[in-house]
Amino acid sequence: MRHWIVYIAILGYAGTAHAQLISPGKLTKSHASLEGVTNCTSCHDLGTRGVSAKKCLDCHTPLNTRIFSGIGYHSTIVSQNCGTCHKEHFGTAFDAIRFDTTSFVHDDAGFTLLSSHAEIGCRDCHTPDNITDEAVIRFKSNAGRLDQTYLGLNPICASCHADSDPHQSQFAGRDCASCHDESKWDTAPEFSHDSARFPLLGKHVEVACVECHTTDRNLAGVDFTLFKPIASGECGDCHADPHSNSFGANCSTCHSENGFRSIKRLAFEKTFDHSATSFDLIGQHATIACGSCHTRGNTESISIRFASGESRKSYPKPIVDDCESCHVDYHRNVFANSPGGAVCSNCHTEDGWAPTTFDLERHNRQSGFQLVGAHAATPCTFCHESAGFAHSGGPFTFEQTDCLTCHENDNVHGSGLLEIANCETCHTEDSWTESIQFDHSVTEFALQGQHLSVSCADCHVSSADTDKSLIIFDAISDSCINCHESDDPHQGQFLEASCGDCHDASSFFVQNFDHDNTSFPLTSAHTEVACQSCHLEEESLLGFFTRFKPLSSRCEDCHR
Amino acid sequence: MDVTSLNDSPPFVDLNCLLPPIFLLMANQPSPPSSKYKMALLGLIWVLLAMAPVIPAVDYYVMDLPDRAYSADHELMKPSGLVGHGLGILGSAMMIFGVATYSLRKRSSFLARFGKLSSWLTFHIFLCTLGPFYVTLHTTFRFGGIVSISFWSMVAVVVSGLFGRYVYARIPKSLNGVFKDATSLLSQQQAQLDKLREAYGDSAFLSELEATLLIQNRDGLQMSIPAAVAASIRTPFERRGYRSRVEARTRKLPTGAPMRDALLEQSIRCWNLNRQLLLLKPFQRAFGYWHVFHLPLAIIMFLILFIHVGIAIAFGYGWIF
Repeated sequence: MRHWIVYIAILGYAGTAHAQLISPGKLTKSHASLEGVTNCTSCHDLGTRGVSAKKCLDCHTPLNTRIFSGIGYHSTIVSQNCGTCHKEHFGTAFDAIRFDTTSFVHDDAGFTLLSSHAEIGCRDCHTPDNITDEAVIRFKSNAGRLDQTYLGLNPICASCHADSDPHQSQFAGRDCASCHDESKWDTAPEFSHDSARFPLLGKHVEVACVECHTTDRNLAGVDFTLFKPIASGECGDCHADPHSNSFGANCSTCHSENGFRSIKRLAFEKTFDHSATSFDLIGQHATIACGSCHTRGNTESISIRFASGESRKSYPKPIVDDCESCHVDYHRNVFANSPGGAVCSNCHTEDGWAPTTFDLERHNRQSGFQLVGAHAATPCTFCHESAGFAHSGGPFTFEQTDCLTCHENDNVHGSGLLEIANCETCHTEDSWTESIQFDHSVTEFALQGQHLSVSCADCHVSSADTDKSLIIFDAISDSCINCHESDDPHQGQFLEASCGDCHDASSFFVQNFDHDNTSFPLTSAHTEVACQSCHLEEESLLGFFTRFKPLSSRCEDCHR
Repeated sequence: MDVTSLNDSPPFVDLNCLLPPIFLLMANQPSPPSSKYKMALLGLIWVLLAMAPVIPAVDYYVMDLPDRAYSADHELMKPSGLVGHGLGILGSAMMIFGVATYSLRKRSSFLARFGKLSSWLTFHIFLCTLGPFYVTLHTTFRFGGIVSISFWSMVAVVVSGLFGRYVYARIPKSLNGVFKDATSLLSQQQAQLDKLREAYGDSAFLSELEATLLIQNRDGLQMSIPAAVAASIRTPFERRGYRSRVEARTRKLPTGAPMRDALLEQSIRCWNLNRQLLLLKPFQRAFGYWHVFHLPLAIIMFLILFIHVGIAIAFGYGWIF
C-alpha cells in the first residue's frame, strides 16, 4: 500500500510538470502565446535542429519585410538560424535581444554612428518614442516589447531630435544633416553660408554665428536662435555706425568685409567726400594724395599731430584742422607777433604757398616800407631771403629800412662816400643808374664850363684795382691833372700849375696866361711874335706836343 | 585463559571497500588497509572522470541562467551542445549499462561465475553514480518538463541506492549473507560477555558493562529510521568516547597490560554488537523501503528517459553532431 502512495506522489509531480511537458524551459513573455506542447512546431520543424527562420519571420513580419528589402542589420546576417543570436526557453523574463553593444557594428544597421552618436548609449536613441515605423510599433506593442526593440527608427535626424525643434520651424522641411553633423548641435559644419542670401566674406567668416544670429523668443516664450528672416542687407543691421551716418548707410563704399580697420583705398580715396568732414579740401589740398596728410611717416614739411588714439588708423585725424596741425611753419614763427597771430592764411591760400596774398598793395599799406620804383618790380625774395634766414624766407622785419639794409652789397662807391652821403643823395628808387640827381656845387668842386656837360663817369671813373667796379666819388683830387693826366696836351710840362691858371674853364681858351709872370716876360717885338714862333711843336713817345718849358731864354737859341 | 581467543570472532567483511571515497565518509566500519587503497584508487578515477567535463566549464555552470545563454561556452555546454548532449548520452548509456549488467548478474545464474556479486555491485555503483553526474551536467542544472521526472527519479534512485547501500552495510548478516535477527545478536553479545567473565571473572566492571548495554538496547527498539541513521552517523564518535571511558576504567583494574588490552577489545566488541542490535530493527525497516524506491523509480526514470530521447530525436537532436 505504501508503495502506491509513492507512485501516486510521483505521478502528481508529473502532473505539475505537464505545462512544460517537453519544453526545455518557459518561453519569453512575448512568446508566451506559443507555450504548450501543441505549439512546438509553430517555431520548430520536426527533424531539424533549432528554430525555423521561416517560421520566425512568418510572425516577425516587420523584420521579414526589412530582410526581404535588404534593409537593416538583419539583412546582412548570412546565418539562417535566428537562435544563434536569439535564445529561447530561458524563462519569461529572459531578454532574447542581448548582444555586445560595444562591439556591434552599427554600419550594418544602415546607419553609421559618428561622433556623438558613437558615444551615447543604444537606448538613448532606441526608445519607443523615437520609433516611427508603424509596422514595428504595431508588432512590438502587441508583444509588449516596444521598449526592447531596436527596430523602427528613421535615419533622418528629426526622427529622434524633433521633440523640441530648436529652430522653431525656421528650417521646416529641411534635413538637419544639411547643416549639422553628428559631433554637436552647436555647430553647423555642413552649412555653407554661400548658399544663403548673405554669403560670408572676409571677417564675417570668423564671426561666431551667435554674433549675428541672436536669441529670439516666440510667442510661447521659447527662446531660439533666429536664423531667418534676419536683416542683413545693410551693414547697419548689425554694425553700429561710428561715423554717425556722416558717410551714409552704405559702409561698403569705403569698407570691405576684410575688416573695418581696412578700407578700399583707391575707391575710398576717389569717392570720399572730404567736405563731409570739418575740413573741406580746396585748392592744392584737393590735388594731393590722402596719404600726404593722413600718414604716420611725416615729411620735413609736414608734421601732423594726430588726435589721441588716431595715429594707427588708416586715415588718422589731425588733432585740429589749422594749418600748423599739418604744416611745419616755414617762417619759424617770425609772424607770431603779426596781427591775428602766425596764421598762414594771413598771407597764403590753399591754392599754393606762392603767390601769397601779401601783395604790393598790402606791402605798401601794412608794412612800413612802400614799394615804389624798381622796388615794385623786385621779387620778394630779393629782400626777404638771406643766408641768415635760411628755411624761413626771412627776414620779414627789419630794424632799419635804409637802402644799405638791403643794398649793402650793391654799394659800388666804397665806404668813403657813405660817410658823406647816402644812396638817396644821388639815386631814386626807379633805378640805380638812371635819374641820378646830384648837386655838384655842394662839393668842393662845383662844375663849371665843360665840366657841366660831361658825364659823371668821365671823372668818377671806376677804380682799376678793384673787381667791384667801384665808382670813386670821394677823395678825388680837384687838381685838373687828376682827371686829365691822360689827355694832358702839355705832357706834364705844367704839373705844378692848375689848368685854370691859363685856361678858361668854359672854353678852355687861354684867357688868364700872362707871359710876364714867366721867367721871360715879353717885351718889344716879342709881344708881337706869334707864340708858335718860339714854342715849337715836338714829338715824344706820347705824341706831338707844344713845348712850353723848359725853354732857353738865350736869344741865340731862337735867333740863329 | 588464552587472551588471543577473545579475538576469535567471525571474520569482519568490510563492505565499504565497494564504495567510492565520498561514500567512505559515511562508512562506520573499520576497513582493511588493502581495501582502502582499492577504494581510494576507484574514488580517484571517479573524481577524475567526474571533474573532467566540469573543470573547463565551471564558469559556465555557476553563471546565472540568462548570462549562460549568451556565454561563449553555451554552444558547447548547453544540453543540445556538443559536450552537453554528449554528457547526456554518455551518462544515460552508463546508467543503462550499469543497471543492465548488475540486474542480469543478480538475476541470472549464467553470469554467476563471472566474479563476485559484490564486484558487480561496485561496478554498478560506479557507473550509476558517475552516469547520473554526467546527466546532471547535461541538464545544466535546469530541471523542467516531463524529463525532470526522469531526472528527479534518477536522483531518488541514486540517493536510495546510496542509502540502501549504507543501511545494508550496517545490518548484521551471517556468512551466507542472511540477515541476523535480534535474538541471534543478543546471544552473540551474551557469549561475548561470557567470554569476558570467563577470562576476568565476575566483577563490578562487567556488571557496569552489562547494565550500560541493556539500557541502550531498550532504547533502540523504539528508534525511528531517521533517528537510527543519525545514531549510525554518531556511532564512530560514540565508540571513541566509550573506548576512552573503558580505558580509564580498566586502568584502575589490578591486572597486567595484556589483560587490560584484551578487556578493552572485548568490551568494544560487546559495544559494537550492542549498537548493531540497537539499529537492527529500524535499519531492517528502512531497507524494506529501499526496495520500494530503488527499482520502481529506476523504471520510471528509464521510461521517461526514452521518451525524452525520442522527443530529442524528433526535434533533430539524434546525435551530438
